[in-house]
Amino acid sequence: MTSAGCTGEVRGGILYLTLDTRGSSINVLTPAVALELEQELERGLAAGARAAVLLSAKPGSFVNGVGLLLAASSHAESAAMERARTLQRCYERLAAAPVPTIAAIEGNCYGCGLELALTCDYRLAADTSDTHFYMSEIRDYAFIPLFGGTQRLPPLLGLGAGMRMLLGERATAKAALRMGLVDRLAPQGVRRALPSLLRELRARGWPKREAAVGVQAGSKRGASLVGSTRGASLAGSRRGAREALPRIAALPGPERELARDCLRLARLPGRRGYRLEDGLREELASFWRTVGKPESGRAMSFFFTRQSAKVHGIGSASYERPARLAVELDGGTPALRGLGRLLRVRKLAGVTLRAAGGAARNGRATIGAADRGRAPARIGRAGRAAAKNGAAGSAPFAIAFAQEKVAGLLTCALGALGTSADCAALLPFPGEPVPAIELVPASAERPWRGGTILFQLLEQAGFAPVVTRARGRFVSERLLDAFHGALAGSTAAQARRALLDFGFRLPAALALGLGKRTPRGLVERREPATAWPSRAAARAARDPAGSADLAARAAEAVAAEAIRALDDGALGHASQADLLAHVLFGFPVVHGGLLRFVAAGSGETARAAARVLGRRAS
Amino acid sequence: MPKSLHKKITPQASILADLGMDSLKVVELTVLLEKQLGRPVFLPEWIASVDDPADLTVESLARFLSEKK
Repeated sequence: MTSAGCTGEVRGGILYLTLDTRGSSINVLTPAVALELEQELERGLAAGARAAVLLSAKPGSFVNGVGLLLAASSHAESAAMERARTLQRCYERLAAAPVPTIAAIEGNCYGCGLELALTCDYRLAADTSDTHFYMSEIRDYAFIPLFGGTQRLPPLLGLGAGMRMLLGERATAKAALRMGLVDRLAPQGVRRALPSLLRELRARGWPKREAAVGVQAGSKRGASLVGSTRGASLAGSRRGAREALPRIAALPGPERELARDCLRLARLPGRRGYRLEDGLREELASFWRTVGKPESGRAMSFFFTRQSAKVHGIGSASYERPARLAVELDGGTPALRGLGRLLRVRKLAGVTLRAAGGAARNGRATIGAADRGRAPARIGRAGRAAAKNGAAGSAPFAIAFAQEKVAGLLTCALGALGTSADCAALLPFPGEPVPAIELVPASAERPWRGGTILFQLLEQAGFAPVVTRARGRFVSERLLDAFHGALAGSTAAQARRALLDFGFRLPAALALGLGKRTPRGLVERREPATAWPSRAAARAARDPAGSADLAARAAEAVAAEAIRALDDGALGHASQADLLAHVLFGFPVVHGGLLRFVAAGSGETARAAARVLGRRAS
Repeated sequence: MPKSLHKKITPQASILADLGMDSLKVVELTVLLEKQLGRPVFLPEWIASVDDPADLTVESLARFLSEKK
């Protein structure tokens, strides 16, 4: 019988548990997979394994989450509870394993996946950009984590750093090492680093890591494996204790209550007489309380919107990319140099970056000399075929970021529309942790399958790509203009406060630029800004309303412009409008999608929003 | 599509338990439905409307879609 997603093998006295969720491009710890993990762990222990290693067979994904989204979305407590229990048992068994456990992390380690890694004694991480750590529960889904994150992160990292991770800060592998989330980096991949780590464990008699929960000195045996610059696991707590707690008042409005609940839970391990099982029970109670709220339901539904926008953009929600990818960068403009810097920093396994130039071109493997000079769409299709072979060691797929079309390469030009490249792109806020990037293909292919590899490269490098069919102006620019227009008549401070209280997570450059006509960070426009007839702006000028209104007006203005873009074909689907609202302005997920939120109101824009969402006219 | 899956698609089949769908597949299903029906489809509403994820059956999906016309 084929495995659902976890196989076990004992080699040289070590149990290797390999995660590979069947039928999915990312690893999801479904109840079936969790059951297998539990069984393989028991089998391995019974066979006398001295240590257990958790690995993933998917290079881009360690564990991206658990299969709870559907169950949790249905508000059926008993059914979701049953699934959660099966998963919980797996976490408990791993945490209670009598032998040292190692999470060998390569690829995304998100949410429950990070919590799974936390139940292990030691964490080893590859130093690639897709190996990063992120707690999605509170930030993306508005519920408290349920597999021990609130009880294990604070003692490990310190309360300040622990809270920051819990509230949704992303950590690269290097940052994870610095903060103590990970014990060791594996520069040449986790499989190469395992043997030496295992040798050390063997030399020390296979020690478990001393519990970092509560107060104790602990033996030095396990501790010395925990990085050379850090002593016992308690050192992390001491350092972290000096780190400031995130200011709850500085968080977007809808996140504050959750953050308070999270802080309460995070403080429990520091209390006298604390027991982990009590803390976990409290955490679980908070999970059920928060997952049942409408905010969480709406936030979870946004997951579907996000994926839907992707499918409408490139035809698939899959997370794969070819094993080898060559990226050529023309540093011709500051914007391109900036993008090159970002891609270099966020280095992905299997991706080689090189500067554009004659020598590089001759050296590079193309998808086939015969494809040079052909129409972009064909390059895309041929590229996909080549991509499939990429893993087999044939020519890597090649992409170029340049101002003009590079023959033979899928070329993306940062800047103005109307380029000779295969697609134009706009990167309005490059300084953000997950910068939005609007892609406008030249090809008429819908969805733009030819852009799949470019899209996935950007997504996995930590950008938020959105595909549009903008003509004349980028849709992002239109939306940003509408946003600014709606805020005319209020001060920057008023606007910032109003938007924050409502729940907007504005990009820093946008927040700073409020009140100025051209926000910092936007690529310089070639044509003069047109004065969009904005009802919202006119109303604002006439009536300096309260701050609660301000945020709603801004939302309405952006929605109105997005609807215009849907009607004129610049946007292909409502989900793309919602995604842009989220990645450009940080429109809060607890309100679901922007259009759905606006449609629930009254007035002309509300009716138009309902129309594009396919609702019956009210 | 494998023949084995064909047989599994009955009105009572649960998309989670019987057809093994996950959230990403639900998204792909949405896109296909929209193409078939020629109008927007938002499945989270359907998901939230049932008492038990086991009730996310082919039949309940059909009912949801016809109600939304």
